[in-house]
Amino acid sequence: MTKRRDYDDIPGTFVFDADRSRQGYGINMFCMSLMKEENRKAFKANEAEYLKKFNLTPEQIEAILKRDYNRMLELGGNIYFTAKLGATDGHSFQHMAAVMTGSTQEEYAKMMLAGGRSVEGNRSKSGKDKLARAAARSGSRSNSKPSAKRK
Amino acid sequence: MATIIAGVGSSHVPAIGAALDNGKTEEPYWKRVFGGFEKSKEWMAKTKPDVAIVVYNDHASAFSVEFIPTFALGCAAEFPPADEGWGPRPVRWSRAIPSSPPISHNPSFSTSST
Repeated sequence: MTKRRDYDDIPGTFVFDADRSRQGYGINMFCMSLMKEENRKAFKANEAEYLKKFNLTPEQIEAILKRDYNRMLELGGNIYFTAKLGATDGHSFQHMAAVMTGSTQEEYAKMMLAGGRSVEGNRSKSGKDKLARAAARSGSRSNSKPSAKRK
Repeated sequence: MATIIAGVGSSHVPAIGAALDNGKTEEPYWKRVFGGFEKSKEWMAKTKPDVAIVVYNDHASAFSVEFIPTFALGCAAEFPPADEGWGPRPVRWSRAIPSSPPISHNPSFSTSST
């Protein structure tokens, strides 16, 4: 639905830009409504019925009902908003972050204490960053052998 | 003229507030960050600035996707904590709440700064 951008190549997330903001308006306004206790109760009492109040696509409704947080981001949700849905379910942010990174809460906490996820191997989905860096290396040191200093 | 004496910064992940509310500050995962806050608290208690200008980003609390200003200046007399899905945090904030320490917001200072 959204235009291809160079940052679509970033692995593990979906960048929230103006296109996604328009696309996910309904998701984010639904999440915003969960800042009121009476709305949280109404939602929990009948989730599908409550969601009818918002302008949502069938894919967005499915993602919300399944609590598929990464899919919500793909469809225009924003983490500061979807976190309110997590809170409505009684989940800590650490729990949500673990779910979204495909790890357990313990594994996630351990990774964060160790300094967070390594950028190595997580820069690009297509691998084009490696090509670009290799090109930059051979360009700047044209006299050296390209394979001489590979890690 | 007033003198700016310092800037104090902090990570602002919402989970910090939840850790505080749920008594997790001594857990290994949180201990380091809260240890850092102790130093700031000591410094502030000792220095006692006349005015604290609090700058923060709004995590979809006061503003939704309906309307998001890039910058906004708060000029209200009181700023209650937001309900981010857990109910408002039990932060004591208001002169209207007897158990709350009097945090004097200063709307006329805010508006005179524009």
